[in-house]
Amino acid sequence: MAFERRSRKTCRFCENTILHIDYKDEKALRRYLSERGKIVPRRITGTCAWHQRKLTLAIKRGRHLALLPFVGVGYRR
Amino acid sequence: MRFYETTIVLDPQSEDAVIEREVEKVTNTIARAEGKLVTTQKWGVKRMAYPIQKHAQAHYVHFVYQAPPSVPGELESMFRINETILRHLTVLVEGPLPKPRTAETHGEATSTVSGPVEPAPAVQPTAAPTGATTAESSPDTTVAVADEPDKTS
Ligand SMILES: [Zn+2]
Repeated sequence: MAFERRSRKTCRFCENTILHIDYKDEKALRRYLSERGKIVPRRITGTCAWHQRKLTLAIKRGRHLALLPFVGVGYRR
Repeated sequence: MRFYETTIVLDPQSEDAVIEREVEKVTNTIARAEGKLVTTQKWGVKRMAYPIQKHAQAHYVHFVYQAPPSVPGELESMFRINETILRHLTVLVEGPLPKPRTAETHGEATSTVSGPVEPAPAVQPTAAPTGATTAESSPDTTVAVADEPDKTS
C-alpha cells in the first residue's frame, strides 16, 4: 500500500484528533504497513512521534492476534 | 476494579458448544471475582493474517469487562493450558469503552450486557465560545468576531 507523498506532511491522527488507536481496527492499521509487512516509518507517513508510538503498539497487538501480518503475503519463506 | 478487554483466538475446527463453553469459562471467572461484563462479541470465523498451528482461520471472541486486577492473570493461566485457544490478549481499555461492532463488519455482535459505562471520559471538546453573542449588542466594540475582514488590519 503505497503511501502517497503529501507536500506538507502532517499527522493524520492529529488532524482527526484521534487519541486512541485501536489494535482491532485492522483495516486502518494495514495502511501503515509496507508490502513486506513492516511498519512504515513516520518520516514517510508524516505521523507525529506520539502517535507513531501508539500506532506501533496497536500494530504489534494486532500482529499477536493474527489480525495483521508480521511478513507480507508473498514475502514468506 | 479496572476495565479490561480480552480477545481470544480459538481453533476454527472446534464445535459451537466448545466455543460456548470457553466463553462461559471467561464470563464465570469474571463473575466469580465480582467483576462486571460489559460486552461479549463473537467475531465469528476470520481469516488470519498468518497461519497459527497450521490453521488459516480462527474463531475470535472479544470481551470487555470491569474486574479486579487478579482476573487477567487468572484468565491468562487458564488460556495457556487450553489447546483450543491459539492466541489471547488482555489489555486495559483506553479511553471510551469500545462500541459494539456492527453485524456487517464482524459476524453477529452478541449480547450487550449492561449499559455503556465510561471508564475514563475521553478528552471532551470544550464548549462553544460564548463571546459570539456579545458582538451584536455592542457593535462599536473592537472585538473581532469573524465578520468581514477589514482592510485596515
Ligand atoms: Zn499525531
